[in-house]
Amino acid sequence: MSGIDRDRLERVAGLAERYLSGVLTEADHAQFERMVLRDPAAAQALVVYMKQAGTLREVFSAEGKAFHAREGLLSGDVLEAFEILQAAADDTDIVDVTQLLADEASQNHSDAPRHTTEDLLSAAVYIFRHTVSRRATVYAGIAAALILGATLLFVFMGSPGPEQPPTRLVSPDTPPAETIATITDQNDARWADGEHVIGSRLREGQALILRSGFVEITTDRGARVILEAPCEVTWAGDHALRLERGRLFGICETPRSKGFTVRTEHASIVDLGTRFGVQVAPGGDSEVHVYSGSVAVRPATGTLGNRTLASGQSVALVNNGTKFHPVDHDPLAFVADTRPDPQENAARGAYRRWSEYSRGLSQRDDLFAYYTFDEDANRPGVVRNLARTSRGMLDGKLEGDRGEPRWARGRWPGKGALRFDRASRHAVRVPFDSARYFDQAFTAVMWMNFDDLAVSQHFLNHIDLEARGGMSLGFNGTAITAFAPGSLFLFKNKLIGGFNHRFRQVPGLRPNEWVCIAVTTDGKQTKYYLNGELFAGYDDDRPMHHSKADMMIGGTQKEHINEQAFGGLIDEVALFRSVLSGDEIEEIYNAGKP
Amino acid sequence: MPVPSDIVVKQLMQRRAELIGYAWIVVGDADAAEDVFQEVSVAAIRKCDEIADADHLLGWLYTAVRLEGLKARRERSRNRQLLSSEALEVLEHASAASVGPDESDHLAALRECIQQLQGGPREIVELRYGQNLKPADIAQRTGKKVQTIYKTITRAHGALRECVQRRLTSEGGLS
Repeated sequence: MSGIDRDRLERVAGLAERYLSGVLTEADHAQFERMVLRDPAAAQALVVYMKQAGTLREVFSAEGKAFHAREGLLSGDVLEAFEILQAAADDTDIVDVTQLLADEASQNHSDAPRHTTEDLLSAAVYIFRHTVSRRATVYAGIAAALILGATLLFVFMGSPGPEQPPTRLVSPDTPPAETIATITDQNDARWADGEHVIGSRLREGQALILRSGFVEITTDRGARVILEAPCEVTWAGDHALRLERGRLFGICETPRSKGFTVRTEHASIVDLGTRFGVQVAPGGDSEVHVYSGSVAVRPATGTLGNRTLASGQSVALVNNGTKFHPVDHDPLAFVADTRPDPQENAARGAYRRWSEYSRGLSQRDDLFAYYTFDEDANRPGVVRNLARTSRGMLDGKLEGDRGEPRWARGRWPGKGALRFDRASRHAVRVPFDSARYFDQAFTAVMWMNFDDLAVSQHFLNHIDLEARGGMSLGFNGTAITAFAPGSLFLFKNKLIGGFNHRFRQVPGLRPNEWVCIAVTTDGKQTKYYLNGELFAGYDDDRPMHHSKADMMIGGTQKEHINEQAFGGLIDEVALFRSVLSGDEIEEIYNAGKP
Repeated sequence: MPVPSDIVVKQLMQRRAELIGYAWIVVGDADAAEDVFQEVSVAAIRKCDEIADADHLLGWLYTAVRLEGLKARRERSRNRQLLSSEALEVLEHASAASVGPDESDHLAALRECIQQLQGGPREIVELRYGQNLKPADIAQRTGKKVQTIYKTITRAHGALRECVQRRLTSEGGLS
């Protein structure tokens, strides 16, 4: 090949580039074909071009860089694992790949079934069933890279809170007899109805419209109320106010302040000695969140009974006050001080934005499971499914060999998450229910935080070893160094009969960082997204296999891949029976980024 | 004598770039080429004891890439003009014949020469091979003519070829 000079190579490279770009005319293509067939020197030049093009791709692409970074990590264990795989494969009913290749060649490349990957997975199943040894542990790394499913995370962050210029707290003067409360503090307050300075006295029936900022009002009986703009209230007596719209936070910690009442269009919220928040949306629906003590919620309509809420509980009153609706308790929903911590306030803004978006998301008809990973104090050990279409079904249970996943802080203070310990094989098990059925179209969105990207791990799967199929989404660390280490992979088919395992290197993925991972598939194409951006897609006509195995989040069935559990944090999983568009996935990311 | 699995894995890693380059020609798409390489790697590792000997390994891999790539082409069922299987076989033989005893030196030299690409050509080559953009897309992004992009890429290939040859015969850089 030393005879390939620069000019010849450049001519061939020019044709090859146009060929790969799909812009050769029919005549040019015929010439290209003839050149390869009839001119040995041109064929050799094309070989040089192929090597150079492949090497250039390896040097410059993210996938190639990742490959090289791990090239030296090939270990004896990995090789041993391959040997185990081969030994196991000998005992299974598999197709001879070499023979397949030969057959195909002899059949002039006629259509032939794909068997290569089925063989491998058959062997994997055999090993999982019959091998209990260190070797199975090693093999699991490989299998993790072959059996994959996809998941998505959602992280949301909001705009910073309002500026907080310092304001002097002025003690109220002795109240005149006709007034009932005093403005005791304010921060950046702007009113719609003139000036109200600190120390201003408020009368029964007086309306206040706060355009911006925060205000503290103290009643003469000692109840404190923090108003957060935009907010409209009217004083309704010496121990009550009416909240027209907006948010307020009530602090009633003295004996005399007990019984303070917040009225809305559809209910009265009566304090029973507590800290609580009330929000009235523009449409009139309201929410109550209790942070300590308890409150009584008394609907105005006579057809709906009263409800008492304890610390950590929340409820919404909807449909013109005719229906209670459960809502997630939101630790950051209300400001309890006129000078909120700026960092906390920024997080609050993000958290609120996400909460609002999340509530809308949970109502979608195509969402069949939705886990926000917020702990429910009344149901320890349970991960609640909040999807409207399957609420009450598909709840998850915590499990592990040593202990269970621990509740932890999620993307913001107050937002929950679960910490999964890989060594303890922590997981959330969602028992099978037909409510999780979908046809071919599927989207998973997960907010995750990886501990370690050098190891392979599953984080969403329902592999059924008896039915020999199912779905799994995972991450290939270094288990198979030749296959795009640092890549996501989705397995969604039968173990025998054709399945798909496409490794796609994830650009910019780092450990100990919240990321939103999304995968969509429709029976024709599969796409991977990181933080709202599409980073890989491929043709994929393998059908989804619907196993009846339990769904595992953060781990696998114990009898399956023992050592390939996920390590890190998960704080949101949304599963759709539709293919979300790139714009929708970007919207989910933007609504939830930390 | 069957080929030990460690030899197969080493060969896959060493030859990854050129096998993917070949797969690219077979299927006409960079991502699909990666898929083909993955399929072939699985098959090679699992069936390594059925490959006659190490001397036949590279040939086996090239054949597997061609067959797997042709299968992928059929599955993609796109109306895309691609080289015939006969032409691919010619390339396959030419590839196997081109491997000399100094192949690892050749690859090392090529990688070193790539590192010497600088300036505009490097930027265009990065966009082409790193981000898998087609020349028309690169032209749009850089504000250059499409012909200029093609010319830059082909000249980069020519320069790399010369650089590698100089390095293998004596020391030399990119011209």
